Amino acid sequence: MTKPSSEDQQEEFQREHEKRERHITPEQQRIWADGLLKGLPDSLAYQAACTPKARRDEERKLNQYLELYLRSLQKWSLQK
Amino acid sequence: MNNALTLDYERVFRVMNECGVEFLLIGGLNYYLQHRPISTQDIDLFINDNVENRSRCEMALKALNAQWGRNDVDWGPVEQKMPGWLSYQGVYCLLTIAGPVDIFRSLAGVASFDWALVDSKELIVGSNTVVRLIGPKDLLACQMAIPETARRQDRVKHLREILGQ
Repeated sequence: MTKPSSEDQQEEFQREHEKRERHITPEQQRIWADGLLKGLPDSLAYQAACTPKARRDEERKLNQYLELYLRSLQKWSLQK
Repeated sequence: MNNALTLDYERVFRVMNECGVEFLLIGGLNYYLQHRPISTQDIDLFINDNVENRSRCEMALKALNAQWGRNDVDWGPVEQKMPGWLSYQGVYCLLTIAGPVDIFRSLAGVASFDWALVDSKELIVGSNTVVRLIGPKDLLACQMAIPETARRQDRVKHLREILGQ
């Protein structure tokens, strides 16, 4: 296989990620988001020790997780 | 070591080992296990890209009930794919019974699998499951090879500190 450029690999990775996102079931999403939330204490402890930029990145990521979690809970309760 | 993650990474490593797959752990989980506790979403594996190893990796992914497709229509269990499906593209994002798994056949910033193997480190997780982690120098090289907007600056900073740069 020809080694792709870093830009090509990043684009391919992004496309693959988005495709997978579209195929995650609400149940998988719920389990996954649950797991991510359990990782929060570690992540919060880490935030306290890192730079402001890293802290902002981590906070943004945590907000995304929380949104994902809430969305999956909504889908989950609608299915029940 | 605080293992708060619920991704069943040990199961993924165990199945990969049982199938004889040559792989290195990269990405966020590598960082989590080797450096600092962070939240991570998936298990990123860099595999030795040859026909035999890809075939073993296909077997392992089948055993993990993985799902993948070249497109949305084609999405489904990998056990229904034609053997050799891991040669279609460079990067794969799959769903498995043990969590989301990403497979990389090559890695921007890293010359080759054999090259990365030299500086890799063996780690034992859970109940005696062995996994090889790509070294900090290559982990940093991966970060530096991706566009700056996608780069994890916190990891870059920490890895540079470790490497004395």
